[in-house]
Amino acid sequence: MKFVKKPIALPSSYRFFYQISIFLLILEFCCPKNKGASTFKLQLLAWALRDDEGCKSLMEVTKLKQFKDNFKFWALDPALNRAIAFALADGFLAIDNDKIISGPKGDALLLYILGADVFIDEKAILKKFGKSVSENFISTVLKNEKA
Amino acid sequence: MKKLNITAIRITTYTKDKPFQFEASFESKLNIIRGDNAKGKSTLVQSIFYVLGQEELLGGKNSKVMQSCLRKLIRNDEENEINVLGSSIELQIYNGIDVVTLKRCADLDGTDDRLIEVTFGGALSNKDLAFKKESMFVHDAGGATNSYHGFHKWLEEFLGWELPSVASSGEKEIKLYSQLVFPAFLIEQKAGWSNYLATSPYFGIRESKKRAIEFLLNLDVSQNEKAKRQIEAKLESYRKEWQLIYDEIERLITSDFIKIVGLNRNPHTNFDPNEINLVYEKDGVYCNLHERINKLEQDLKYIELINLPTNNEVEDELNQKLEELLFDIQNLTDEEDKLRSFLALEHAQKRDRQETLKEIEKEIEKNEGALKVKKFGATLESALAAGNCPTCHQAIKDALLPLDIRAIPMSIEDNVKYLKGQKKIFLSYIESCFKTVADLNNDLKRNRKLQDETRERIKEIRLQLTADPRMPSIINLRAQIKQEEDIKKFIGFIEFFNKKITEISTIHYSYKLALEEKKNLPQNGLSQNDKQKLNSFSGIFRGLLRKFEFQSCNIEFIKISEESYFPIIDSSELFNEMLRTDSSASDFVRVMWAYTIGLYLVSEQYQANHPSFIFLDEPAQHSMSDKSSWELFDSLSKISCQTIVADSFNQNDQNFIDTTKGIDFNLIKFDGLLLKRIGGLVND
Repeated sequence: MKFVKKPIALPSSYRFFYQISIFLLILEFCCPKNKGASTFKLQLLAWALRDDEGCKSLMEVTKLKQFKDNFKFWALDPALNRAIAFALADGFLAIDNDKIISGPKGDALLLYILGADVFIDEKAILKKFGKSVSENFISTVLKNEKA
Repeated sequence: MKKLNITAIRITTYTKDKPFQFEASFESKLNIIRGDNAKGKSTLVQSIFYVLGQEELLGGKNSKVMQSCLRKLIRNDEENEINVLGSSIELQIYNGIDVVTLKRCADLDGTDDRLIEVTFGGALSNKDLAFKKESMFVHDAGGATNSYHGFHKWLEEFLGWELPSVASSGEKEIKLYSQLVFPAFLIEQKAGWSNYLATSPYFGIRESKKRAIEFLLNLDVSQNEKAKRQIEAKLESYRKEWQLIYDEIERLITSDFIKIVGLNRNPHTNFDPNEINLVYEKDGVYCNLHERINKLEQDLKYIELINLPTNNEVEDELNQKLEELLFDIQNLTDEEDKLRSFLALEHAQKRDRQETLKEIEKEIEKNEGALKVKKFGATLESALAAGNCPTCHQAIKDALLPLDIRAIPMSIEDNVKYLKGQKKIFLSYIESCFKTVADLNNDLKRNRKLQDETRERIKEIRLQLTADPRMPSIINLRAQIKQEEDIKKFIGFIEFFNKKITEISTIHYSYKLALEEKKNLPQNGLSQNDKQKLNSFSGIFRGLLRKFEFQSCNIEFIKISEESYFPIIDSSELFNEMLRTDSSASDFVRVMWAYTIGLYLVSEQYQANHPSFIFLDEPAQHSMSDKSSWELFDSLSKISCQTIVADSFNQNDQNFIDTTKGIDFNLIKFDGLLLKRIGGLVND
């Protein structure tokens, strides 16, 4: 007798090209030109895209520009760090001045993503966040979390 | 046919002393702007984008995108840097009928970057004349849609454009922005040569590039798509009206053990008013409502004939009946409780399943997006897209799971199939939930009705039992009255029902017409005319590629796709194919030249919407051969369209002479720097 392992379904957020696309969209919509983003920023915004609740609470916090007690810290997802590492190795992302920026293949991929009919919801949400989630803001979140 | 023609430009940069200025005039043929690098060519190019309200193609809004020499520091010919107090750009344009002058300032105190001043006349060529002026907003909520004071709206009218409404990422339709159309003929040096319409800004419009090409070529498909959406909306409104009437009938009639047979809640094509009946069903009786009325009328005659017994005579009978009824009412209330809890359960389940369905649908969209991006990633020689680790080049699974998890993930394709299967299951779950809820509601309604009736009868019997035993029993009298009431009510129902059925018949007729209309639309949306246009585009495109000495693949197999409107070879995207075969970078640019010029030529042939204006910034990218560059200038000079090319000619006079030999063009040249102090030198 032989047992065959059945392949399991995987959430889209565990796919390389889903996360890479999200990172590039974050860099495009939510970061100053050519300045890039910290891993925390990528983590935070990618986390906010996971479910409506996270997105809503982050939106509220950025609007108030201060923390409310009910803002729960996001989860730092090791899967996202893996995604960043793979994307760096494959040339979709690069590192510049300790910040993550779009890599040599990233610009071409981003142009495709922006023009193609994909990730409509994600684009709309990230565009709405815009530059409101700044690096300063992130460091405040981190400090607040430690306190 | 209106067009866009630039006739003159003036850039003025203000400093504490005399301003710096650049002035030039353009002709309605090939214009070549020749300037060395870092001398202000980009300033001139960007100024033209800016004053036309198209700076989003440069990647930003308002004056932020402009060069520092217009906003911060300017160099004079002695290489001294001088503080800039702001600039103004004036552009005189002509649409074949009217001449207007646009003026927009950048960082100039006392002016607003978001405003463009439109002068209704040639202010640059007739400096002494006074013309009417109006200021219009460029970036303002509703700038494109609001007719009042919106620059883009005005520009559309000036160009004779009627931009269509298109599907957006949200539910509603929005108007196609002119900034999405301009990248087809306004090509900027930095990002413009990387892809077709590469500089299209993101406005949340679905397939915006396709929509722009459809508009420029005036394809019927956009009309057809629109017609399709309109028919869908019409069908939906008929569906709603139908349901409304159905619900109305149901609310009024079916509560009384009467059912509608032959009519569905949703419109059905096989609807026939003669096949529709009201049916009476109670205590094992099942008949047409007409028959029921006849029966009741007969019964009534019979009751009238018999004598009424006294209360005394019926007392035992009544007592026994009362027992039975009290027992019935107990059963009925038990049943009601049960039904209510089932209903609550079913509602909760329905909600849960609908949530899950929404999640599944979102997940399908995400997976499909990831799949598309992955496929494109493969053309960028991505190791991940090929299923390999970018570092060690061993095969890896497309999963961000920790390495110690041994599970085998599905491929994205299988994952999408799996999710679609799940979606089907949940759709049928939800459908069955709806049905169960409707059934339960009906049962509940029937239960309530029965309870009311039973209580009414209990009350009657109790009254009877306490009444004078010598009096005639009025139970039967009441029954008689009730029957008379029923007859009247049922006749009312039938009248009401017939009226509503006439209404539904009218809707049914319009519904069928709309279905027929939908059938008549072309299947993939392209009309015969559209196919012809794309076909001649293919021909023109191949001809131009040949002229520009395109080498990467066999030109014969290249055509313009009826799906994407971009070039394909053997049904795969031409760019992807070129990336795969490692084509020379200059061939990519040749494709862009041919596509840009081809688009104009097809539009001209079919009198479509191209504004007969092409602007190319540094078209000789990637060490283009002189011969090809000459062929480009030759084509540009021979088409009846205003073309402007900004080129540094590799800062080489010989290159300029070789590539423009024998070509008719208007030269715009500046020696040294673009912007020069009015009245010559002063000491700074």
